[in-house]
Amino acid sequence: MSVPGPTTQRIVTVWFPDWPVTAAGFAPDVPAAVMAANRVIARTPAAANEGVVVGQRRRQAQARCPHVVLVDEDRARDAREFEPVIRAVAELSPRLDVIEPGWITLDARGPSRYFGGEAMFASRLIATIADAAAPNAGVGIADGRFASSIAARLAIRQHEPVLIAPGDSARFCAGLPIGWLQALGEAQPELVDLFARLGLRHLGALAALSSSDVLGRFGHPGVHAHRLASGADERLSSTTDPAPERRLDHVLDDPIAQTGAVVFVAKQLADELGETLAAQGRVCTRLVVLLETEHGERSERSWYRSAGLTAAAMVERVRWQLDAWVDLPRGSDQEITGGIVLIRLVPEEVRADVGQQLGLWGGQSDADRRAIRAIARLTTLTSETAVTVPVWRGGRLPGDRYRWVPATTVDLDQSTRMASRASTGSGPSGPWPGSLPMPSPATVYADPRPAEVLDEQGRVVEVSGRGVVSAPPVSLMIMHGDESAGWRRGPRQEITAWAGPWPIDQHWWEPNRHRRLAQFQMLTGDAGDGVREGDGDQGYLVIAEHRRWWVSACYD
Amino acid sequence: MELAVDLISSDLVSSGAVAHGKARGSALPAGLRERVQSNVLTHEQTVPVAAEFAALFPERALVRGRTLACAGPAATSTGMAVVAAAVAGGAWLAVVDVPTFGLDAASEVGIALERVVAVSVTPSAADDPIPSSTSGASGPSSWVDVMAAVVDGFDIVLARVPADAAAGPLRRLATRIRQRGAVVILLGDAIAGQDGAMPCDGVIESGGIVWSGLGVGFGALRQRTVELHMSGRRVPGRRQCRVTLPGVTVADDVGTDVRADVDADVVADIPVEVCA
Repeated sequence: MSVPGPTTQRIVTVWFPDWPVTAAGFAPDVPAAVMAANRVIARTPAAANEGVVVGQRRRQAQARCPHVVLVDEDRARDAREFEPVIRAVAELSPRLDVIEPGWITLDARGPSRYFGGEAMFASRLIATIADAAAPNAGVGIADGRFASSIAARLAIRQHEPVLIAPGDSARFCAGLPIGWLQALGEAQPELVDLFARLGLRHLGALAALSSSDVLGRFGHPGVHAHRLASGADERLSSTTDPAPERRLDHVLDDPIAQTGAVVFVAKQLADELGETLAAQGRVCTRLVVLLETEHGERSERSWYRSAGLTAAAMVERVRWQLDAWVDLPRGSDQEITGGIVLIRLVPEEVRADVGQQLGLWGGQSDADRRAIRAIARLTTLTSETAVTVPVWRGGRLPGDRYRWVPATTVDLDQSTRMASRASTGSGPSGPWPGSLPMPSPATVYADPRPAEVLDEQGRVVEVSGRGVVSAPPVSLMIMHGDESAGWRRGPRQEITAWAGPWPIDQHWWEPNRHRRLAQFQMLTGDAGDGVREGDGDQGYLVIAEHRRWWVSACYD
Repeated sequence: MELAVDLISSDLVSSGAVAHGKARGSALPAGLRERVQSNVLTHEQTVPVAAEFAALFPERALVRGRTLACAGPAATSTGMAVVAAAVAGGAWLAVVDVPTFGLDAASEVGIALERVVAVSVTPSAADDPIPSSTSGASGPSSWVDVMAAVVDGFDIVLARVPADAAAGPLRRLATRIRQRGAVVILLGDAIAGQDGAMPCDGVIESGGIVWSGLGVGFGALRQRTVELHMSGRRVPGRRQCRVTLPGVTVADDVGTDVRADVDADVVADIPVEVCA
């Protein structure tokens, strides 16, 4: 299907903006968004008008548009709903690559010659897609997959197909911002950010650099970006391997009617294929999946991914294809009527795996990934509010300084979290005058426990409004029990050392949050009842508030 | 060409020596050998511990798969300080059923709070270091289930055992901890050597606390020395050490000196006038 040679292939891209939200069945005028990992990944035009942006957190999206409907991501649903569109387009040109649901590429040369030119073909495509009851699609035609993908996205804004003349892709790309590399998933955000900070704000600026310099400075990801920016396709067709019988198939003696069992067989094949390719230092970029039933019905689909398909990605695509096939309406001409007897995976396009160099520091470690998985599992095991992570809030009292927030509402990516006080350079970290110096108490009660502080005569010690204590405190009694069962007095402990009062008068401008209290540090010796003989001093953080004494924390 | 061959062969010789821990071993920087060592059995895998605590452990580190208990009047801070070096080095810390966990104190001993996750099984504060006769109502089986999931995903776990947990599930949990290689530190007094208690490999008993910095009516708590005693089935004899809390440093290669922050925001410790 491809002509070997230095010229880049003409590619047609059909792109559906925000496909997941279309697949979820929302009309464009309903504000709705699809979420993955607590971030918006797609939204309807109505939601976009309200200010919902891809990448927003759930809370932010709801703040912008309170009546937005949020649904979770479902890749299988996306693939299933996309199947009619694929079939409609395949009527025009059978050889198409599905990159992901909502994104198809085709070879432009054959069909456009048949339909009388690229412009004709593009309008024909749009008409076909409209017949398939799909929403507006962007159609772009250019040299190379990258340029054509951008053209398809621009076509959405211009409401007409964007055609880039042959040989014009480099000029087309040159004027575009560098962020397109990230938008199409061809470069890591860090790399694009670095380009931008180095002053390479347009693809043309990157393309103007010499290829060898880019390789020396940025390695293979940089060369890949450079090649795309120059308007060339990511891999020339001539580099395609002739694929010497690399295909794997599995013939089943007993037809399988369950999707899960077929996917399981496909997983074995994909693992084998992935290992074989990895042993040769290669990675598959285009995979053709063929499924055949006992009645001779076939489903053949070509899947493309420029970053390479891992074994898991291959299995996922088999599942998409199978789900979509099973889901076809009754009576359609390609309906599945029997069990699957043949599964074939053909790596049609492979390339050398330049690999991905993990950073020396930063990034995700194995422990991070394991913990994030465990958090997801714990959340299902207990409840969403039971699994929490700390977030620095700032404050003078030990109990105020951190807030526990549910782990599922937080991006656990370390670089963006403001967990500890050290990582917050400014803002609420502040100096917090009035807070006690290090060391901080290891046990902080969410609800302070009532206590009594007595002087030598056995009277309760009082702290005046000017921060003067009525008498030196001598003994401390901590109450046990709880609010419902009633408080009981604990043993009388002798105070061996103490300091205070350190008055705090905060939020006086806000009646609900106003607190006026005095803090004390107290050390108690042995309780006198022999329970804690020889353990030494125990430190407490004691506060006087509303003429009563409380133990707010314990230095244990 | 010959020179190159020489270099390679001498390289091989030296790396062989490293592997056997013989001739050239002493020339290696401290800690490097442990890092490059391969093929370590699970019960030989360790996570680092601050140098001050090394005397407590025969292996001079925390052994994976072990369950330790911290008891006594400085149990919580001891638990924090023992795991600080591991968490600073990249491990994640799960805090199970310790709603009173003092995050400021944790960050002061060097625990990276962005890798701390709290899990609460019992709905409210069940018990706390202040001796109390009431035990929080809890689901012991669910606590064990949650702990089993926690040790799957986290390297370091600080936990409090509910008072009414059954012995059978706890024993099974201990087996799972050994298999998964997590380090579990149990807090609180009612843990070791009782019926229905979690089987522990060692108990770190704290006592003999001497605080400094606080006088009668002046000063502020600054530091304390704590006597730690380690005993248990996997600990030969009775080991003890005396540490200063806070003041334990996490490993040098982590590069964070937690003591640098002492004077960050000192409240003036002027003697307060007492009106008799």
